[in-house]
Amino acid sequence: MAITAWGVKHEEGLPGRDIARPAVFFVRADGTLAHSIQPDNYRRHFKAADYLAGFALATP
Amino acid sequence: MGFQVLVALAGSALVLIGTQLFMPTAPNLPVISGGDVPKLIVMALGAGWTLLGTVQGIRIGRSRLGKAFLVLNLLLTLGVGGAATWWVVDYSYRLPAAAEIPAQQTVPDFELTNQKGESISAKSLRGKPFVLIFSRGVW
Repeated sequence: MAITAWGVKHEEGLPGRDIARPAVFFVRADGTLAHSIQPDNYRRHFKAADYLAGFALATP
Repeated sequence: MGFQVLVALAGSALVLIGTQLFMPTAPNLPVISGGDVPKLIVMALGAGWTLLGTVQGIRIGRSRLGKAFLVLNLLLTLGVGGAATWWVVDYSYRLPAAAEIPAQQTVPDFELTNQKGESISAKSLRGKPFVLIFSRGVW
């Protein structure tokens, strides 16, 4: 499973509700990780600027 | 019992009622939502009444014991309401440690179905950058 393989499984999550911790991975064209956002608090909302900054790191 | 004591106690009751309404839904919400606003207003109104009754009780009242009771009631009310609000806002489910994927290492593969029913994998996306988002299951 992608959740296990990517190391984002949430063991203490509510059953059937939050199986994965919130995370955003930005991957380069060669398949390597450029950047990731993994907040400590699931209440944090990602902003468009967060995505744009991360994607800029993943693109040449 | 003076009117100011009744106001203070009614305020405390409002804070407790608001807190009770606020707490059960908290773990299921990502942030304070629009539905929580009336509950927060009830709590704020209750805290205001308690403060008002306490101040008036201290100003007008004669009994030291009565004044001490009002101050204690105010501290308890604000403490309960404040602690409940803090818990809801700060609640985090004790998330696991962040995944560590070395920068130069190829990311783990995955195979997921997109909205068109097509199978998408990390390998099929090779050659172009992509963003993989994991979100909480239920919002």
